[in-house]
Amino acid sequence: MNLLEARDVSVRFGSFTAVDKVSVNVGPGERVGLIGPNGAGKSSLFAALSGFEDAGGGTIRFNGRDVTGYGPVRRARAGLGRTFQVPKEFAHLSVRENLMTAAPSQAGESLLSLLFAASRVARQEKEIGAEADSHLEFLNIAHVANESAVRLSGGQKKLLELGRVLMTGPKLILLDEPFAGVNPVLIGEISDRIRELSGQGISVLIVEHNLNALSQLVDRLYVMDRGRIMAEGKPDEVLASDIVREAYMGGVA
Amino acid sequence: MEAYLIAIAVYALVYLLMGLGLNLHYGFTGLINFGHVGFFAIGAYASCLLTLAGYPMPLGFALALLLPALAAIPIGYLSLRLRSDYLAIVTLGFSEVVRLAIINEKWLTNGVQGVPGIPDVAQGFGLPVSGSVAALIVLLIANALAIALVYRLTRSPFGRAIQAIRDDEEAVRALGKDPGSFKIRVFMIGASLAGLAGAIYGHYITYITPEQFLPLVTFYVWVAIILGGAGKVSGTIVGTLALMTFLEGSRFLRDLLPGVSEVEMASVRLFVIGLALILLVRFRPSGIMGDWTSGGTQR
Repeated sequence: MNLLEARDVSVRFGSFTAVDKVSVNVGPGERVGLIGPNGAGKSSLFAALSGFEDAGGGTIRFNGRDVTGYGPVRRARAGLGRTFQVPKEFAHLSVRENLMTAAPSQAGESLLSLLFAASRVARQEKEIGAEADSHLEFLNIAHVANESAVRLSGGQKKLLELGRVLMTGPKLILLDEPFAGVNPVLIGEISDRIRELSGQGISVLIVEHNLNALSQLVDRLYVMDRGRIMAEGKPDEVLASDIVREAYMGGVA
Repeated sequence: MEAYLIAIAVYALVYLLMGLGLNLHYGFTGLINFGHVGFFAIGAYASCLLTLAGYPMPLGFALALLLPALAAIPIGYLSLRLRSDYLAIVTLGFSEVVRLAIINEKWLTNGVQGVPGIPDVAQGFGLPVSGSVAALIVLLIANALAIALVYRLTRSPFGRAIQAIRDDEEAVRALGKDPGSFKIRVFMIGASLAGLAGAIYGHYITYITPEQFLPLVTFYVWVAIILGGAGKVSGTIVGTLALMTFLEGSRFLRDLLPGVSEVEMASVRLFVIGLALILLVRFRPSGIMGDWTSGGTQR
């Protein structure tokens, strides 16, 4: 059974159809890539999957539930996390605080608890802090834990976003261009971390332009062009097919 | 001279109490509230009218905390759907609606004639000092409590969440947190602080009229928190002191500018304040103490 099942999802902006009846699946622990030229509709599809855009008459099932009517907050709570193409760090919080913010159902977010259950809040803060520290270690950014997030490099911000999603306890993470603007060494490191995560049963769906790094990382690839899925399959086979070449090269002509 | 100094201290502390509330709205949560004086006015009229009707002053203060918070709820809901610039317009409109309601609901507020004979703070709390000194004492206590509250809030998980909302609301939603409930609560708390400031001000001045609650009051508070550095408690304190120095210090400009009438002087003072603000944002854009963009996570 699939973890994510999106059927006939469409995203329209006025008269322009960015995503045209697209269906995608992601299985438990699976690593899936989504490629396609600029303007193919990948980011719009991500927006629909994460609840930021309407599914346009399609249906989205996640973890056995119909989440089509859910907004981004409820989808995230259901375990469907995402990162953004341009990192959306909380610029003026520290890296550690960025992660701690993401922990679900914190007692200290209630004003009554702050006033009347201070010790419970303090205890939970310790636990959340420890969890944040372990993710920071895992992502190898523990040395910048107390820096303001705004000071991080592009690659470190990508890792920070990944760490923040991990704090929410996701079952599936939609990663929007995790390698963009990231140096080659760090790309390898991020890939290793993603492999480890799927080893722990966390699925990923990755939009990425770095086809070389992506094809080594994922189990399966979707190719999108002009709002539609053009091909699907094992990375080597898909990348060797004419359809992909045409989408990337011929689509412009 | 002593009376003058007490008066300045009272005004400074009234502005500080309002500023602490607005700093929660804007400095920590990024909500642009141009109608802060509306909450201030509601607090002033609520407490003054209640005590004039014979109820004890602590009850008046309680109502001055409660009513502005309730008034903030619909504004908070509006803030969920409005972009920040529209929220600015809506809040400005709200404070003008409050003022016009005060002018027109004569049966309750006595309209433009205002409410005279309000019990002072010494009477209200049975203190053996003058009304001004009593107001000063109560303001000092209220500000100390408010500062403690703001520190407690902003250094908590709640404070972390509101600052995250300020920095990137979409990312907060993507992490499964609803910014709405945070924004509404922040609006309520900040409004309560302004309402309490209004109540103490009313009992200090003992005579309130609608023209004391013009949008200019809101913008003085804005000037204070931007001068000092938004998103920091120390910034609000320093900024309020700077504002009072400008407002009061510019009185002495008269000696330097002979032949300027009282009416013209009021404009000159505003000009001086405006010029000071322009120079500050030109040479120190994040305020005297540095705002949230400059200080990392220390406050």
